[in-house]
Amino acid sequence: MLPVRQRKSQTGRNFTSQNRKRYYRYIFLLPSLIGMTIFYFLPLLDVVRRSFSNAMGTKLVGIANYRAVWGSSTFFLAFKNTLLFLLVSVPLLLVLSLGTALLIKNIKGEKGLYRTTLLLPLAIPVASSALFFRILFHQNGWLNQLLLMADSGKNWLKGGTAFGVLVFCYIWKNTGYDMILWSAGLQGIDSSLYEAAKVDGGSGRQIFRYITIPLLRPTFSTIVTLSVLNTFKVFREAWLLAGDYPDPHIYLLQHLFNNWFVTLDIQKMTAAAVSVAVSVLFLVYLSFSLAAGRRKGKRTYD
Amino acid sequence: MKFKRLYASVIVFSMLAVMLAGCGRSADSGEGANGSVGTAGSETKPGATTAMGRYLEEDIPLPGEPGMENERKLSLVQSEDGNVYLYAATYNQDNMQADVLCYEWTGNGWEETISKLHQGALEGSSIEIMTLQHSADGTEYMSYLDWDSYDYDTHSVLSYILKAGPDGTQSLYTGGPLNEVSRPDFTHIYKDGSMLISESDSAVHLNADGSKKNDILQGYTSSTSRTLVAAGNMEYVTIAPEEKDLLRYNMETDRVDETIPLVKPSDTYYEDGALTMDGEGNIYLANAVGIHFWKRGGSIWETVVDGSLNSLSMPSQHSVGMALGYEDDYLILSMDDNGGVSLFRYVYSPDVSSVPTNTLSIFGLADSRTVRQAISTFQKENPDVRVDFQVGDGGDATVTDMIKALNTELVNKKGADILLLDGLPIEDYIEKGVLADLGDLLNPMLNDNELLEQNAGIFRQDNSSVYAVPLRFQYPLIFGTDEGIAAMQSLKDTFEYDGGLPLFTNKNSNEIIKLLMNSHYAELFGEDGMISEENLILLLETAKKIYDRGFDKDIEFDADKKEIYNMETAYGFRGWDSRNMFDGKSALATEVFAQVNSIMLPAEMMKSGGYKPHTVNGIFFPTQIVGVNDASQNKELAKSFIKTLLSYEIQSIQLFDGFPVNSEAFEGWRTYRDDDSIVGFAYIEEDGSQRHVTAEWPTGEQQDEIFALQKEMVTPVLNDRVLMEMIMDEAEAYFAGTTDAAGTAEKITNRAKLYLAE
Repeated sequence: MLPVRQRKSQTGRNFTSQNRKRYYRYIFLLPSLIGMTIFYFLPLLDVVRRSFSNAMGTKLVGIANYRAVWGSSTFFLAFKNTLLFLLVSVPLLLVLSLGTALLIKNIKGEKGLYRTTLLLPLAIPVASSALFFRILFHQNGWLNQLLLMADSGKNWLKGGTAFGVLVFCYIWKNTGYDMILWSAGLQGIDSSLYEAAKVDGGSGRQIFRYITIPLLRPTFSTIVTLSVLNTFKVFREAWLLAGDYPDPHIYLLQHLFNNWFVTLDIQKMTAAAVSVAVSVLFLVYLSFSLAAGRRKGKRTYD
Repeated sequence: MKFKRLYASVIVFSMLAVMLAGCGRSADSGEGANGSVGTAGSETKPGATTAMGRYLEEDIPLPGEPGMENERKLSLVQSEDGNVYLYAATYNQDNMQADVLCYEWTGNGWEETISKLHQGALEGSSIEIMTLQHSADGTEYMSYLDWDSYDYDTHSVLSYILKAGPDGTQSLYTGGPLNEVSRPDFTHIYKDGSMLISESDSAVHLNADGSKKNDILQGYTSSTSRTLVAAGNMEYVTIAPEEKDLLRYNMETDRVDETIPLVKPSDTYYEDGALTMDGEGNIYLANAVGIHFWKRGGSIWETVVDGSLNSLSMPSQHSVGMALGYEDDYLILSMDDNGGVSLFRYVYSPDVSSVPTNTLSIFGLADSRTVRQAISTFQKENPDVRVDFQVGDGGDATVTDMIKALNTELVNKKGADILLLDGLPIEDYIEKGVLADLGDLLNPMLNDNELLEQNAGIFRQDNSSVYAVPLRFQYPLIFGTDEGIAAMQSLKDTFEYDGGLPLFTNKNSNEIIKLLMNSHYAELFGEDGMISEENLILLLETAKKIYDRGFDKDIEFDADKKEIYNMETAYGFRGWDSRNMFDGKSALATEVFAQVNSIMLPAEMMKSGGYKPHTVNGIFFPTQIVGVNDASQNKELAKSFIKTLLSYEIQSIQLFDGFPVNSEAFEGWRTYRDDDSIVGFAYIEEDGSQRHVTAEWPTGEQQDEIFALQKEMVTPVLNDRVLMEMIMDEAEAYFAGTTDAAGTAEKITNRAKLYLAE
């Protein structure tokens, strides 16, 4: 009898303990949840509310703000430029930083010097680096002097080349950081796999294709996320290089939002923010759906 | 276990409480923290305990005939026994005698006494009275200069001290001229008969016979009269040569007994003040910050009277004399920029709160002398209100940063009660409903011509709402050859100008673009409201044509010319163009008048060249535009302050920041004359000859002619900072010759379209 009673008792205590643990979970989450609610969710709801109100949020205006934003050529230009920047700079950065990480990995001897050198741009204040780029790409700047075009050279910060300059700034700043992330991923790959592949006669390209890339996939998603987030920070460079109203080729969403805030067009700003957020969520959902569909298809095929 | 849970709970709730408390805003935080741009006015909660007692300011009428202060040397003098005297002295050239009136302070008013210096026997036909002193035994001293003795080689002049004893006997103190000084700005005779005579950056301690005892080096500012010195009890207090400290000298040993850090106002333009000592050697200092007390041997200044609540902080007022009253009160003799003299008394009132219970906040990107002037007057009329004026300039923040910080508050229905809108997006604020309608206050003033309708009513809407009002306006004029004047009618005319002289000389590209944009702003836009690329090309080509014709190749070798070339003004209309025209180097002269006496030189140049003044297409520059925050809890108080800003009392004061929009004040300026004034400048011509230009006050006819143009000024120029910067930025390459006008205009148009389409 006693063992049974003991078992019952133990079962009951386990059940209560699990409930308590669940209860504790919420207790520990509560401060963070309160903070998130106050500082993120409520402002987010306020943004949605303001997107249907006039500038001072005193009167509801229906979807007039959305109509104004969607009918605005500047919004579409800024959206297009931001998207284009993302699509051009992120893949370029991923490839370059991976290449650099592989090069450094295969260097025999001291690697720290190379890694530190590549990480230096991260330690330089944005204002200093922006000033440097202004001097470099100015009409009478170093680049034109190098190209012997000092007198009649072009201003690289004006016209179509401005976009290239911005991409260059982004790559220069972030290559080292991504290289470190790739290096961490590369170090996580078991060296015995490479040795086995070499013994089996695998070429360098085959090893990269069938071992390195598949095993870097978890690292890849992290780096992509961080790189995309960093593209939004490039506004600082764009603003320091060309001000509130830069060349139309580097006119980003942040410029538009910034200028709208100066002119107190809060209603347009919030409507545009909601529109962009919904568009991005839709794209993410679409890509996840496609990926899920492909995985499912692959499994079915397999 | 229970204890641990309890402990954990206490920690969690403490953290939450601290976090949430940190998010809250203190109710009495009247002044913004770093980065704050002006918080709404506050009021002490009913029932809260309020500390009572504060010094209040009283205007004391000056004794004697009205206007005497402009004719005589006025001195507020305190004898060592504490009696206070006001001297009004002048020299009567007809009978060659000193005409000295002396008034003794009774505690409530002035009582005339007979000065023993009155009709003092002086020699010479041209005497200038410098300083006056009244000693405890009734002896009076007066120092003066005899300009008949002026030595043109050494630029020196003889100075004397006239002594008048209680029995009326008069004599020269040293029996003859003072040998050691030429122009005394402060004198004091000590009990032992020795003299302290201050002259600019040094002072000399003389024995009774006039022989030198010691030299003292001291600080010297550009102020015309020395007021930051005090003497008594065998002591002399003056500014140290580095101007950071006050030094207390013991005149028996001629050594420094005490070094006292100087309380200086933060604003650079209020550098003057007045100093005095009491019988115990305690020091009292009056300046724009307030009246401060330094106990002998102490370590810190105690501010007794807060200058920000009264006339002490007025930009137009400068304390020139100070005396201690008989009932713990203070008397300050103050001089304004136009030479007017006022006497203020600061009396302790136990019935008013120590600190005003209401705060009216003002925010602006730049300082405003008119607003500062009005703050003092308003606070004097409303002792229970403190006006807190926060200026956003300075520091590392850009204009955009400051506007964004302000907008953050405005969006949340906060921000200052009154906004000084210069540089802020006024049209956007009006459109978004940020500004309150001031129609009930301003429409009657505009309709009754109390305000100049065409200058002050520029923000009046079709429905009679008025959301903002400029406090001042600046007055651009051109004069020169007929061809030149005709060329300024339109951008096309300017471009086609082909007269014998360049329109302007030695003017840099930014200045030319500013001038053209301000003169022809409307021409830059097409009927669709968007910027016209065609007209932009015309603007650029016109600017380049003016630049090339007027470019002086010598600027690389001539530092003066380079300095003139690099000179940048707010509107592109710079006074220096007048000199170029005067020299026959250009066809046009431009001027922007911000004060009435700035018409003297242009008027002289117009007279000598036979030119007539013209407006520039009827434009004028409204400045110091104010509006009331619609979210303000103090709207009525704010309106009342705006009424003070627009009142004759404030508007009639010349603060060098523009012309008044108050009709009566403008009329006062229009008819104002200062026939004693002479201004001028001298420069060396290219051939080495020296040239002088001097100007007296213009004739009434000329003055009328210039002021009559105000009626033609119907187009306010509200600078579009962003567009102008965009054009100047892109035009840089065009002026350097690396791009053509069409390419530059295209780039500007692309950027401008973004800006205008936003």
